Amino acid sequence: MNFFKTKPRTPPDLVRGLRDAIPRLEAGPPGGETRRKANEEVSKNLQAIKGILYGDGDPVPEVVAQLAQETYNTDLLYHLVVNIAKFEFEARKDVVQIFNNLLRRQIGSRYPTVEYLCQKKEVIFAGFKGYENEEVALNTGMILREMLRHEPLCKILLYSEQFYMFPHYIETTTFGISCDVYTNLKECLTRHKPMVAEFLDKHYDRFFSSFTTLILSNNYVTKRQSLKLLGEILLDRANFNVMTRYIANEGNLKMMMNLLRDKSKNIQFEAFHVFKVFVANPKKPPQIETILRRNKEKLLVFLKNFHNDKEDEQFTDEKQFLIVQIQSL
Amino acid sequence: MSSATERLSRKFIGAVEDEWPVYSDRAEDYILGPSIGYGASSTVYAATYHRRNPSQELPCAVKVLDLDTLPPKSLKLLQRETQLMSLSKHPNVLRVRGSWMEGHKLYIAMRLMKSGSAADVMRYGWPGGMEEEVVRCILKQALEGLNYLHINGFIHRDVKAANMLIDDDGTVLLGDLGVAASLSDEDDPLLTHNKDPTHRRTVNFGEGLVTPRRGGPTPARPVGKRRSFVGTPCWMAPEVINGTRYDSSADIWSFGITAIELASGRAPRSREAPGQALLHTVQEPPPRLDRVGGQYQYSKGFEEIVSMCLGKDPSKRPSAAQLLQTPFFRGAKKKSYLVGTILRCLPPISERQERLRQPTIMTRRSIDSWDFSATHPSSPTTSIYKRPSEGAFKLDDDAHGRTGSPVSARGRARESLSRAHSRNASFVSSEHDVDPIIEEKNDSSNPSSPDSNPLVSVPTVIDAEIRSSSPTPLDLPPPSQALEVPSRPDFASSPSSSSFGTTASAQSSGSPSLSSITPSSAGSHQGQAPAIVASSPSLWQKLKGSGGEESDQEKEAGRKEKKKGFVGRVLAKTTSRTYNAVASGACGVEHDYVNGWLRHLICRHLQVMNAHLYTTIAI
Repeated sequence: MNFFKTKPRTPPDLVRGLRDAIPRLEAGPPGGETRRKANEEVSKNLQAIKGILYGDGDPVPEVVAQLAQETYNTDLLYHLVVNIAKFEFEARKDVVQIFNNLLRRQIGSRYPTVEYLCQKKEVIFAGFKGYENEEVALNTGMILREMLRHEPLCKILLYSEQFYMFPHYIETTTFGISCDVYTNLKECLTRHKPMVAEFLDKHYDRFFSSFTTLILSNNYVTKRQSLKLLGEILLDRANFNVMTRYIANEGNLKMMMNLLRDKSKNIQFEAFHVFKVFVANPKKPPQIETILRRNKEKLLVFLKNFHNDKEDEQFTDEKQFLIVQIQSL
Repeated sequence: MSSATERLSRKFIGAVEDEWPVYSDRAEDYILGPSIGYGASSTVYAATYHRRNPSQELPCAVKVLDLDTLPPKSLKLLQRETQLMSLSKHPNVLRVRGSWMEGHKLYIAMRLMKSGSAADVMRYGWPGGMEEEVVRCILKQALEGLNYLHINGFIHRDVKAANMLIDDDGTVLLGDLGVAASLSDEDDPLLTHNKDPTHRRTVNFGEGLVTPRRGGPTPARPVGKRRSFVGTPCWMAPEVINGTRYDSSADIWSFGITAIELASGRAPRSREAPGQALLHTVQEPPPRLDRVGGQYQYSKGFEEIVSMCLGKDPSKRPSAAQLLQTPFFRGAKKKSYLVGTILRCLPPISERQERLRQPTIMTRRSIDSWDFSATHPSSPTTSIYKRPSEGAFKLDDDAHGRTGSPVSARGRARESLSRAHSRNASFVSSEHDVDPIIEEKNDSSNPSSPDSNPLVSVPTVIDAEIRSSSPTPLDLPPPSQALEVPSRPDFASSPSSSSFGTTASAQSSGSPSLSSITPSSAGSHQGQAPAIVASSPSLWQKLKGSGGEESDQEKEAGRKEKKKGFVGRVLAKTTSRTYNAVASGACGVEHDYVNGWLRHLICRHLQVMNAHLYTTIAI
């Protein structure tokens, strides 16, 4: 029997200790003792919480439940995300692991953390806002990604005003982060199809005017990814109505025809996969058909020379189909 | 407290001050110098970073990648690499110091590792292997970096001497996280890149559902284990080759192989063909360190470490943390030891010409390889990261190369081709490239002309016809001449402004389109929109062969092709058949294209992975 062995700290102890240490991170002078101690406390508690969640073998369900409950009671997740930039480099990664572990926690078919976050929407927006700080953007990006996997949480972001910050974040960050933002935008728009289809239908104009700025971006990667994503969205069965609306708009057709001539082959190719939808439409609206007919000869010449080096059977078939379609105009 | 919890709760080894701060993401702060390395789609330059405040010039390396030459899959990997590098802060792991874009070029600033990789150094001055203290010092530092990655839940997946970079102060960094994976992140591009792309790209105006042509979505995987077939053959752990689940202990195997590599000048089995190397890794006893047969002699302790790492049972291998605790590594000399022993007389990296050809951290070869181009005749020491398809062809090439002419121009051309269009290049569709002669035969034996019935003609015939009549890519007129689209700047900013031949939009308000699209369906429902909607998708589908029934001609063509043994073409049409055909032993048909060992491997993988061929294997 070891009398000096300290009693293991209970989950409420850990959570409260962590929660209380966070405000102290900015107490006292910078580089002062208070801050250093608070930082140590934060890192230590995060490690201990991680130990409970990821511990060797099977984590004890009761302890995990107790821990989770305590994080809800103290709004710990919110404070973690909002203050993540104040944590040490490694502690930030612990936050991500803890957050995502709690988010995945399932009781039967219920996700308690998801239910909690539905009531505490600030957490989602705080996670999204992390993109404004380059230092932590990848950490919060991972948290956001995990949240977006859950339809109710994704829906909250999608229907929010903040959602339209995506283009801004994509355009103003560096390559690695910009790609991360893009991954999350894509996650938002492709994972929960019926929900997204309804959203796009309802907010068609605002969404596409925002999305068009990405397609016309000067940033090569953004442009290429956006075109690809547009193709995916339009060609998804769930978005049939959205596609119909999109391909009835002559402005969209013109944009794609211009992009077909982009100097980048990859962008041309992505544009092709959107352009083909306009042509394949059996019910082309008059304005679309007129544009196509007016450019018939040029398009035929263009398509016959378009990416002939691609040995992709499906692409070749589709191209041939378009040629036949345009010929019959 | 159990050992794992203990490991977790211990203070992070990475909590070290980073003496190399992030520089900046502004292009104007850097001046590029001479190139010091080339890859398939990247060049590395020695460069200087000009710090403003306080004014200072710092040497660095800048990797320049042309993103327009990268297929989407590689773009994803690159993204992952930069992200993992950004999330790693350890004195023995290479970090990103800044990145920016210019046009379609991506610039990544990194620390300049003046001495090159351990493999470079060895190749230059110690081709027969290096002495124990040197090896121990290099390995120890790399192990620190590896331990950091593992604690953070990453697997490196390509540990080898070529990825251990040395600076002139003796620092060793673990580089090339190009194929590294995070155990907790399920978005592994290696697993999701090919999730049913054809289905996604299908246009369907009908109401009926399109049957997915490829396997369903990736099944949920337990976090913490991976299956992708990634790495460099000689360094790959048996469980990776076998396709069973693996974790960070696969890196420990590669680490053990690297130890032998540094001690004997080359990795075991590096003189075998890649396939043989893979097969032997699985079938034969693990390689051992030769203590006395080489240029230098090695201690018993070293030998034991190596054989611990090279345990065939992954669960019996020590972790990186455990290895660091062994007397062997605890007793390793400080990094400055390398300066006096191996780095002192080394000429600058730009003068060591072989560097320009060897795959190192600075290149993207781990993404684009199997590289059997002229400078690299069949080498199991090159990283592989490929799906079986491409692997198969390249290997096929390789076989030709070894038996006949060293490297055929055809092979190279094909390689560049397959690089150029990897979007849909799947196992089956790239089979297409294999032999142009067969294509011609098909052409003549399938006389059905696309003109006679354009809507139901056989896709492959159209395909062949187009290709034979089309000019070479070089003759392609510039796109800008082909289409007269005004390129006024205002157009770009406003897609709705009308400058694209729109003046007559009003006059065609009738519905001539309805009859003109689809001759076969025109009569039945002139002007009746819903009916057309219902019928034209099937035509669209037929042409693309992606749903509905195949036309008779298509079936006929399929039979003909099958007789010729060109299994790929047939399989390309209905992918669902692919799995059955290949998995159930129809591999025999492939005999011409895939040599024995690879067939063996593919079959194995297919058996293990069943229908998830496209999502999980990355040969």
